[in-house]
Amino acid sequence: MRKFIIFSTLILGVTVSQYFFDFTRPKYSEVPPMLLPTQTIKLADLGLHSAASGLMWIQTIQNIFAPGTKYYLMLSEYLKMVNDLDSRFSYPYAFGVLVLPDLKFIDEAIEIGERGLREADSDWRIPYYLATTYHIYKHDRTNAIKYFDIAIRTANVPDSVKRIALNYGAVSDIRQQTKQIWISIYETSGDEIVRERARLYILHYEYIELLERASNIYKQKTGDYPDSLDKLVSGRILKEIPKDPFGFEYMIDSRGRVSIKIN
Amino acid sequence: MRRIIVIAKNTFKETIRDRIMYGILIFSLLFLFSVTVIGSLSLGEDLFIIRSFGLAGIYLFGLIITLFLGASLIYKEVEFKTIYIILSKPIKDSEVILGKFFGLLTSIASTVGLMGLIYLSVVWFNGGGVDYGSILAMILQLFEFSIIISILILLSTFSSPIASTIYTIVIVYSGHLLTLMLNYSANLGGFQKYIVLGAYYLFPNLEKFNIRNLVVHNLNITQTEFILAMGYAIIYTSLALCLAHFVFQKKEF
Amino acid sequence: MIEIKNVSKTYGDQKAVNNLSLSISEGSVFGFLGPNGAGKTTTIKMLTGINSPDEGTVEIDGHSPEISSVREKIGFKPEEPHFYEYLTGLEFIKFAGDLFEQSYKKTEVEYLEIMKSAGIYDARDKIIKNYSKGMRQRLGFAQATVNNPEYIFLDEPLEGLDPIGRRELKDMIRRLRSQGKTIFFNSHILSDIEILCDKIGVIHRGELIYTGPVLEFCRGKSLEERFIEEVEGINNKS
Repeated sequence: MRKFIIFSTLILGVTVSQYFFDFTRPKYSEVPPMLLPTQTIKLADLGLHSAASGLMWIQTIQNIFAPGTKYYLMLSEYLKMVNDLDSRFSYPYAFGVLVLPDLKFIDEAIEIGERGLREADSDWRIPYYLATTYHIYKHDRTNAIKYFDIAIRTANVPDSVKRIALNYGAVSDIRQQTKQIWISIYETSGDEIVRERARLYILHYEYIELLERASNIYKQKTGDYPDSLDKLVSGRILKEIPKDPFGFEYMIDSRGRVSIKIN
Repeated sequence: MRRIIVIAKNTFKETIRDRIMYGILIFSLLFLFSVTVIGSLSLGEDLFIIRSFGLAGIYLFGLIITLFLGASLIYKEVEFKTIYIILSKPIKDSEVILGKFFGLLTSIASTVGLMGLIYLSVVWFNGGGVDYGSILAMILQLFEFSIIISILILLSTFSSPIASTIYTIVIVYSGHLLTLMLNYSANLGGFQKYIVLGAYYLFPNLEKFNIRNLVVHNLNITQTEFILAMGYAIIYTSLALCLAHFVFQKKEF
Repeated sequence: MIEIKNVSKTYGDQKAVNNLSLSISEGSVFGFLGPNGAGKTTTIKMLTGINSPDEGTVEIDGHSPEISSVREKIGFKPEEPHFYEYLTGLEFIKFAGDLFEQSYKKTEVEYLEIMKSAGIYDARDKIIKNYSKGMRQRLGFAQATVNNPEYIFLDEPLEGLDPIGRRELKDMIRRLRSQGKTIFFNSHILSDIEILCDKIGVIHRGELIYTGPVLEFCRGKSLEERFIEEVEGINNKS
């Protein structure tokens, strides 16, 4: 009986001390994910390149968005390492094309996407996200059309995505189109970071649509569009002006179109 | 022929009952089960990670078990004088070497087979269906291991287990780097180039047995490549075993 | 008939056996005696085909034991009782028996009989790792007789046996001799082997000091006394 008590106390002691140790440490690693020269990894991995690529991929995405750090600025380098180890591993390319433009690395994103199209396993996400990047960040509809077309012809593309890609150019309202694109990204992406991003965009566009609908109602009532959005609240059409998920301020022009205030 | 089988069966029994080998095997099985968890960290690319890591694990653990069992095989017999009991029986040196080889190969094949079964069920449960490509990859892995086992037996006839292990690890590493070495040698001049070229052909070139990077992308090798790889394995293994026989015959006990 | 003619064997710069000649007739018991390091084990290894002599010839029934078929009719118990630790006693005996053309068809019952006569029947299903030194000696003896050999070579058979074990072993040797077998054994334990051997050979530092009947060597004293006399005599001369 005594032995049992001693052992249990010691095990409890180990657990508790570990818990308190973790408690005092910062939640995320203070060390950035490993970025090693590809050649070095290939020398050491006994030919197990795809496993090495997978390992580098996992440790990159687990740590690269650690809050309070700027590791994400190096994302394209990490992706290059993963791609060099196994150039057929398709998702890192797609992830890069999707996430890099938001971090202001638009050209790198396109470069990664084009390499992915050349070398990776057939994956509809690479041409699709290339198309969306051209549309959203470069306002280059020609290239967007080109890549949407490639996406449509890729195997295993989901129907919802196919529809959007096919309809591109047919919908006159660009904002509507962009919102549709973000909805498709939200629905088809498996990972939380990307979906969260898409959700914010969808919300952003829906708030703008809401404000425009509200100002149309205002016009019907008063005969004219409001000169400021606060009039929608005082005019008792909206309870409050929704807060933009990206923190921007909304403004309305004389033709009732809502947009973001750019200072 | 019959005596080769007797030695092989005996070697199989002796190695398969080694308790430390069981430890390594259990670790490998735990690893294979946990690969599913690791896969979930990959942002949706579970199957790719499960297959890459699973096959890598089967290779690495198989290699560790092979080194562990093979390095001491003949050395233990000489050290502990069990070899006297065998050599005083009406058996030829070549039958001893071949028996040891086939016995060890069978043990290793059993462990790879067991790990393979676990791996295939993990892949199946994660929606990957029957992974035929991986089965092929494991067969080629056994060809590679037969070369490694024969080298271990050769080294085991004259060096201690630690030295045999180190030499074999070096040979296995270089075996996967030979192509890189050859590319590097293009920049070298005359004499050095021939040394690298010589090493390239003499050292066992093991990359040809590695189709894992293709299999996880659902690609395959041609029948010709498979047959050539098998042929290379048979020839190289025979070479190492002949050398082992030669050393063994000359040995004083 | 075992014939050793002018055999020498050198290890490194040490001559382990120098110009040894012996002749052992069928159906006899030959005791090869000498202090440790005298060259006894070296000789027995050449007799069983494990090593080859540098000079001279070793012949069993006119053929070298290095030819594998000649070894069908010999049995050898090595000095140190090491075996495959993870096999059971019975598995090991079966393994040993399977290596012979004549005996691999033996049934399990026959193998168990052999284990019985060696006195390890009770331990047949235990793994060898757990055998005591005495049990290992008996197992060694069992595997040396598994093929019903005509010539049996024993390296230090009395080592590690308690007095009862020693008596059983001596009975076994006598029994084998009565079956017409030839027994050659090494020993540095000299007490009461006088009665066992038909002929002895005495070796010291690789040289044969004496070969012939026991009584002639003893000249009325005990074997042990005479042996120490001879060995010390040589040591004092050098």
